[in-house]
Amino acid sequence: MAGTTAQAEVGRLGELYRAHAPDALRLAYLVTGNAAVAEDLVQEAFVRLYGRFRDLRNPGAFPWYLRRTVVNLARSHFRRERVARAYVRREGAMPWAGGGDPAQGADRDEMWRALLELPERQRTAIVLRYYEDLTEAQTAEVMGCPVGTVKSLVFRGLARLRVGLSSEVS
Amino acid sequence: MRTEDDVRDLLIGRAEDVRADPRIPARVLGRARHRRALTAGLSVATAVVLSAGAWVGIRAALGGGGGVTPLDPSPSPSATTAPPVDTGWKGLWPQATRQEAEDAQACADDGDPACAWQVDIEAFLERYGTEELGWEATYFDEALDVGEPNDFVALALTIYSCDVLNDPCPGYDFADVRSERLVRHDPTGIWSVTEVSTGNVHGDPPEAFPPSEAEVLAAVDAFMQARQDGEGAEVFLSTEALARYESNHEGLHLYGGPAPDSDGRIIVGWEVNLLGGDPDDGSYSVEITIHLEWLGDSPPSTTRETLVFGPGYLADGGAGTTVVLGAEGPD
Repeated sequence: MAGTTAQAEVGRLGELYRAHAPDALRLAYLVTGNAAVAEDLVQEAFVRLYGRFRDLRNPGAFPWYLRRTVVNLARSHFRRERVARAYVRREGAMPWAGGGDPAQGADRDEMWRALLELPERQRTAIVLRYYEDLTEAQTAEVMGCPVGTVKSLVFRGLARLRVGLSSEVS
Repeated sequence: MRTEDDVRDLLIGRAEDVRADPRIPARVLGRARHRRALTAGLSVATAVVLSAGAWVGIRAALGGGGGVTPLDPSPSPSATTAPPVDTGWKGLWPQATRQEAEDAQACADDGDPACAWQVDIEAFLERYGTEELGWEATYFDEALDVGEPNDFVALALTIYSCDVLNDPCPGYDFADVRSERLVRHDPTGIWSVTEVSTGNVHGDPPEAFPPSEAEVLAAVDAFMQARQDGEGAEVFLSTEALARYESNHEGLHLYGGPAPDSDGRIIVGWEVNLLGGDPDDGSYSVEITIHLEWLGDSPPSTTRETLVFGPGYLADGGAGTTVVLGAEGPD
């Protein structure tokens, strides 16, 4: 009986992964700008959510919690990276190539580069608003902050993009 | 001028850079299985040791009765059920009065997302941890995996500010929370917190020696960069240091950038003077000279802060070896 239950759970995890991993991976990639990091974050999110959502009454809520978990994990990633990056800069051990995937650096257009240079919370808010098409209230829910903060993050992020792009052009 | 549409188009296009293999990776499957096995073992231990309420929850789920009462089509008041709903309001959160709770119930019945979360115990407790207790995230002991948690009218569970089952969590907060459906005793009833006791666990200090000069300089750079960016600097601070900045103690201002509390100041640069480490408490002090420009007509100026870095606990519950433990301002 226990074996049957375990098999059913594994099957369910596989179904959830097949249904939701692609969307979660795209979100994680747009937030982090790094495909390898995005893949790690999504896999970690599935591991963390699996146990907690075994008894989920409303399966429709899974992608919502997955999205929130991915954003939270990305935030933790950036926090670790920020200190590590400063350490590397100080030590001069290796150049830091920015938040993006070095392999894809050559074909980045200027707006993508400018987006990746935004503070991570501004970028996350913009991705949730304009890629995920979430409302400001939903974005606030995912990011765990007030709606006013989302408005401010998006406004400042877009303003910074405009300023950065116009200065590059000039 | 770029528009929001340009950003949207860019994101949609860039999202196609990555493709997920539809097959679940073996390592994810393995870790998920391991986690299930681990939590199955820990749930009993956690429930018994840390949460008597959760333990009776398990008993109730298994048909043993106890302080947690499963739903019944025709519930009859007994010593083990929640008190009759008309004997006075005992909810602590999120509604302070019965009328407010009844309004929230009606709102949830309408399917309004602003209230519907209060029907699901997991969403409800997550919000309690993050909104009421101020945690960055909320984690449950795995007793919540027993049966259908929403089939109860009362649940006592321990929630944590850190994922104690999967992470080392050197320091974390926890709360023993009793939740009850006070307005309606069925799966559509909203939950209310009726009892809570909180505590925290602090493990061994992360390190007992001062951080290296390079580590301190890296931490200063990251901290100052966040202050200049106008966000994210809080994650470097201990509770004490954060309180000093938030109260502008001795003229301290955390931000000099686009943040609302930047007071018109803009950080344009900084210099670091290493004052040295203290082997007794593992701390390292630095003096930072901050160069400022101001919105408006005020001329550029400089200000000095003395910061103490070292191993300790962050205001958000985590721990680090280069936490800003103390801050002294120019005044």
